[in-house]
Amino acid sequence: MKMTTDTDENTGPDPLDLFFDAARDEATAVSPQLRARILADASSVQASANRPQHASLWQRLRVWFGGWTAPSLAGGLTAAAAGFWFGVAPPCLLPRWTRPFGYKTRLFILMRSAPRSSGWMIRYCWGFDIWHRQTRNRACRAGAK
Amino acid sequence: MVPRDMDAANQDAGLLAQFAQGDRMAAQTLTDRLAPRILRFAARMLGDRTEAEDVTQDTMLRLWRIAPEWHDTGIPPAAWLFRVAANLCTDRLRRRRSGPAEMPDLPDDTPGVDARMMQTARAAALDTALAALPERQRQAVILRHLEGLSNPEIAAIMMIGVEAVESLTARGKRNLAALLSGQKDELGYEDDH
Repeated sequence: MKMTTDTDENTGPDPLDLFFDAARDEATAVSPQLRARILADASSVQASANRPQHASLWQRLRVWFGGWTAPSLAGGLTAAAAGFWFGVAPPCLLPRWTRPFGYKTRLFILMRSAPRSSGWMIRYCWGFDIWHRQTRNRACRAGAK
Repeated sequence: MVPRDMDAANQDAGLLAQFAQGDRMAAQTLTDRLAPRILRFAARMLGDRTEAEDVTQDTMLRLWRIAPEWHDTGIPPAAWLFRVAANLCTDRLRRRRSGPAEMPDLPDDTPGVDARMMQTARAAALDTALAALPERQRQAVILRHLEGLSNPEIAAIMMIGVEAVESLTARGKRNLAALLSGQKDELGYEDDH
């Protein structure tokens, strides 16, 4: 195999060509072992590429939770249980014995019994409580009709 | 790049696409086409056959892995492989940090030595002289004069300009000539420049 060098056109044959020719003639064959290793890698890559990606439920959860599966799952389950419980038994700020009284009396009792700093929370909760009862009563009346 | 090289590059790219689709024969063909060149290059860069085989295997593995995402990036698969192999060789050379190799013992009975032995001696002397070159010069000289790549191809592999390739090659050859001039009697080398 003869390859021209950069100086061929200007200065005639390059004496280094003797060495380049000799080096090119020295065959560097790939051994059967190396060839087998390379092809084993190729088969491995092909096999992994063709394998269907059936991720388990746990693996999918890992992806969803960004790797924090156990803590995220525990937190999520706790929140779900709490939500379910609030749905079954909504919290009430006022004790049971105040039920016979009217709303205004109950609000008065609540404002007097709670710390001053928590007034805003009581107003919000009380408002929710009234809204909740009104909605429920409205639904009952509609059902009675 | 001459048309023949373009054909080879297109064939390599086609084989790579077939490999990505699960064709095992494509892997064999690509291995037979490309692995010997990478092995030769790595062996000359590192001067160690075992390390060169590891680099070749690692380089080919990277080719298999990139096959599904291979697209025309302006560099043929063979040139991409040379770039990967060059980087792997550079990593190993940096880890090695050894001094320049000594020139090999040459046969004393030069007048009686046959042509084959002379060829082998010249090849060994060149390999040793190449090992003494700075890494970038060695890389450019190997790619240009032993692998027969064009200057634009080498520029793409080494990620430098064509003029820088020409400069590296010229300096590399001057250094080679200086290193080999001490053996001109034994190896039939006459430096007229």
